[in-house]
Amino acid sequence: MSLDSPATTTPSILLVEDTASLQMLYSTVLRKGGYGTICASNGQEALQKFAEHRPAVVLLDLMLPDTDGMIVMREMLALQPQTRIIVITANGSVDIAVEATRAGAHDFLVKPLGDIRLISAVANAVAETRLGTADSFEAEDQRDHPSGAIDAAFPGQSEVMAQLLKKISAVACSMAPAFIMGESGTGKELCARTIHLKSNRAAGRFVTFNCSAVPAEMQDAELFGQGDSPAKPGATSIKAGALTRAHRGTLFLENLHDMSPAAQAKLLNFLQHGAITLPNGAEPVKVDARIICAANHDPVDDMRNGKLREDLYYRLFVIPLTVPPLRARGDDVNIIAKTLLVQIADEEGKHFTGLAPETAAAFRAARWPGNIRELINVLRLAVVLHDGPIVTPEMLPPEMQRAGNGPDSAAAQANGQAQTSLADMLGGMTMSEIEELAITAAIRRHNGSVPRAARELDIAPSTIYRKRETWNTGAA
Amino acid sequence: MTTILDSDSLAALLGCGDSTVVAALLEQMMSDFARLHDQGVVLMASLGAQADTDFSALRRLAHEAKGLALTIGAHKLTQICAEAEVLAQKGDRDALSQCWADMIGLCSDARVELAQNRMRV
Repeated sequence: MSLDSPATTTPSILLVEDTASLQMLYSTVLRKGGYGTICASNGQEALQKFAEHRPAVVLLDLMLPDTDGMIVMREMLALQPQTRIIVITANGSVDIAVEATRAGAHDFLVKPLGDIRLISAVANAVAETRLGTADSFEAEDQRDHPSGAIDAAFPGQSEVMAQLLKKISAVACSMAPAFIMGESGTGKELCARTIHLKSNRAAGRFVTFNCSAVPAEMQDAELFGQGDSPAKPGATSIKAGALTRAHRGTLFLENLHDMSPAAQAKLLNFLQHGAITLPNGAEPVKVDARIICAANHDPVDDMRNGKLREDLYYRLFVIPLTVPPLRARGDDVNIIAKTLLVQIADEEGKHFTGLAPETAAAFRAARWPGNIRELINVLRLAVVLHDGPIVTPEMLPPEMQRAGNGPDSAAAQANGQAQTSLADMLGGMTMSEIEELAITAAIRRHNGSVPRAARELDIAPSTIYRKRETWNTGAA
Repeated sequence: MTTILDSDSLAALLGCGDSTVVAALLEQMMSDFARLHDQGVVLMASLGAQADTDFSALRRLAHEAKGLALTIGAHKLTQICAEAEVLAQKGDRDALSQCWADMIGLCSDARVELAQNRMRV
């Protein structure tokens, strides 16, 4: 008898279970939940049906008569990386749960499977495949990212962006934690993704974790995992945390200052030992994840006002990168605007091809406090309310229509003149002297704070300490 | 009569669908337990023959029986299956022989109890 129950409008789940009665039971429960099933009783049949139907979600028993379920899972993920695989097993071992998660399992269920738990696990997995993200505060990248997208990640030709891209390439080769700073909307996450995609971890997951979006009491479980002890009656599942999901990949931590003290202590422990202890108190599990943090303000302030542990700050603030605001990127704003305009017009079913010269001038002169996010809003407004093919100044918000001839434009001119004068003043000095002058001035501006000066200059604090030692030795 | 099935687990099982579905499910479970019992008897014989013991097959069978026992709430059977699984993995022939006899006996009991419930559906 075939237990396959093809879906009508609901997605079909591939159910891999060798015990016929359990296959029948799970299939019945899933049907009640509105899901069709395609059933397989061994690894070979599972792979054959997977290749044939390409299901988005698979329920996979780990112990199969002909092969190990882990091998089947790896083959499925190699064929279709975005598949959500829910592992089911009668072994509630933490080691197995961690191994399965590392191998790419989305969830881990321990028999006996309660109806609600089974349906909710499948519903979550199906929802994620539709959204393309794990949930509101943790998201994974699809691993088959086209390589061309990496280079196109930061369109623009400005010097500041060229320097940033150069730094990103260098940082990608390292394992050291990176700390990305920049105003809201500048593309800090894009910067982190680019580092990940250029690194040798690109085949692994890019997992984001926004501390501000997760309640403090849930951060520990969401970041490090949760689960009951297998010895505990009624134990049914072990959920991997964001850190474990980023094994052999990258964990992108946003708004570290909103991380609870308990989670900060645990993160520090992970950074020191490279291992995490799961909630059931089992042996620590090694996790190989690179950490990249981001903030839109100075983390030193968080450290000073007690929101961020000092020892954690020094562990994470190893390689600083600053994503420049849009107003500092010169003509990049118009290059980006043209790229975005075509995309937005396509989404809105309109035909736009470019910017009028006056619009480009207004864009160049604007302050863009909301950066690229604000630029997107301005373009979308123009596209939605008007017909193309060119964005004219009349399509822009009133304050922006004035910007082309406004005070911002004058300020930009004055700034350019000041830069020319400074360059003249530095004439005759060696690079080493200019460097010492710039660093000393920055330290003075920050009341003697080396980390803050380093951040302003976009270099590591250790660089300043080393240089100061050289200067002192030279003076002696 | 001593019951080996947990009443809550059984109730959940009996409530998983209409009578046709439940009857088919119970029959399939009876069939699975009968198969596990029969395969268990064959494998038990191999425990006496030093060279022919397939510990990997013993482990797989104990594991499968454990999964089924967990689902119907047969706690004692679950425990013995888990023990048999560990002993098979270790290759502890003597301890496994005694444990295995208990396990296949309980598989038979479980099948009988499922059959009684099947008649009530």
